[in-house]
Amino acid sequence: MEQILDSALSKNRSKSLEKNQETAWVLASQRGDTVAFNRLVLKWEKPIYNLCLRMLRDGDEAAEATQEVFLLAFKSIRRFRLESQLSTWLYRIAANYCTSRLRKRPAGVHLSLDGSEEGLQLRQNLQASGSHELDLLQAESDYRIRSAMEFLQPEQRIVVELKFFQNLTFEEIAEILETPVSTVKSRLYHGLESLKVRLERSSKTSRQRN
Amino acid sequence: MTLNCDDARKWIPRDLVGDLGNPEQQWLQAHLQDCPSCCKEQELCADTLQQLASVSDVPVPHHFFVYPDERRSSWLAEVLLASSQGWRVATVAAGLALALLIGLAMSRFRFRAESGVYSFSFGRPLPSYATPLPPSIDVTALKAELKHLLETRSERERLELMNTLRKEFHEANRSLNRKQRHQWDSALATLEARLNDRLEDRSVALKTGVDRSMGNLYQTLQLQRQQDLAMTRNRLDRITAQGQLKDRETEEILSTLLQVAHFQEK
Repeated sequence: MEQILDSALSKNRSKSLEKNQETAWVLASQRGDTVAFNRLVLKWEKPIYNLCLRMLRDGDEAAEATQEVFLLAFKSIRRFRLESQLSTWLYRIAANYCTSRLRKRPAGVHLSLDGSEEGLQLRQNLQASGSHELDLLQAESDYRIRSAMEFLQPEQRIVVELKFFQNLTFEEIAEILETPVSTVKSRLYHGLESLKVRLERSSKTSRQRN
Repeated sequence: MTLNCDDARKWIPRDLVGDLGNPEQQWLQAHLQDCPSCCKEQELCADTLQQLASVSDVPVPHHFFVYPDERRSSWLAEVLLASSQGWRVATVAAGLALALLIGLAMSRFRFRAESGVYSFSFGRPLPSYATPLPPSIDVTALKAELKHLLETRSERERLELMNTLRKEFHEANRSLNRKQRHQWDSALATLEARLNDRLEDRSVALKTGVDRSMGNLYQTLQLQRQQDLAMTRNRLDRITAQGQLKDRETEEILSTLLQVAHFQEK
């Protein structure tokens, strides 16, 4: 019992320390300290890059978007108030950037989910490299989910991303997207329904191919 | 509470996400125990969520560090931010003064584009051009318009004068005694009578003038009509004379022809 309490306390303490450190870096960045800002970049680049990657489904475009997000953040860090969390603010910039970029894309540009060239290529590459069966399955599953997500509307996609991949609460998502919680929920359930149908169809196709 | 399949299917994802209250959860569980199709739906949903949860983050291809050079989009803003509060205020004040000076200079700057000619001036008024009058002006219409304006104006002034006089008389009446007021009234009545007489004379003169003009017009028309009639008659006489002449010639020709025929018979 004491051990559990100790571990919970130490976890809380480390979280609090982490938060204080982040606040210090933010304040230093607001004074123009680039090194402090780059420490924040180092901490948040992976979730932001993955968010951009799942939203845009293109590695180069995602990298470009991530760089742009951090540049925008750096330019406007003086306007950031410490009342909200830095992650919420960064996610908001990334979400707005990716959503607007998706809207600018011409309509009807989708990669085919079932038996696409990209999927086959991925599978062949993994097989050729002698990867483990589990890795192969995981990669294929990741690919199928990313492809299925592409068919979601940008508004639904960002909600699914923030809820399931960034593990945020409905309230946090609502704050990031500046929309009511009810809207966030509605978009999430519609998105889930669409994902379910796509994934089911994709599984069937995959089984038939195997 | 019994739950139908439609509602149950709406509640399944909410339950899996943890967005369902305790009583609803119990109703859903009760429904799922009796409904195999909804059970299958739940499995599918759970599978989707599991797949979503299994997606792993990929490592970043490179770091996304930001360098100070990238931020310097505006050197002025950078300089301002780097300087102290006093310098910032001074710079802003200088900027405002400069903008004010430019604004003043611009307000004295004059520009005119007229019939293809562009004129610029700084501080001085622009020279005026003698614009030629348009070639066709209806002088008669202009005169008539001016006359009408003058008449309207004189009529209006007369009425205003009368009103002013009336008001003044009315004001003066207040301060007069009975005898004086009587005298004023009689004077006014005389004036009014004279004015009326003059107006009547003028209207009579106008009527006479109109009658005379009408008579003249009638006479002119009559004369013109008579002249037209005489001309028409002359023309008719001439045509008749020509006709008679032609008849005579025809008769002579016929008689000559008859004589020739007669001789031939003999």
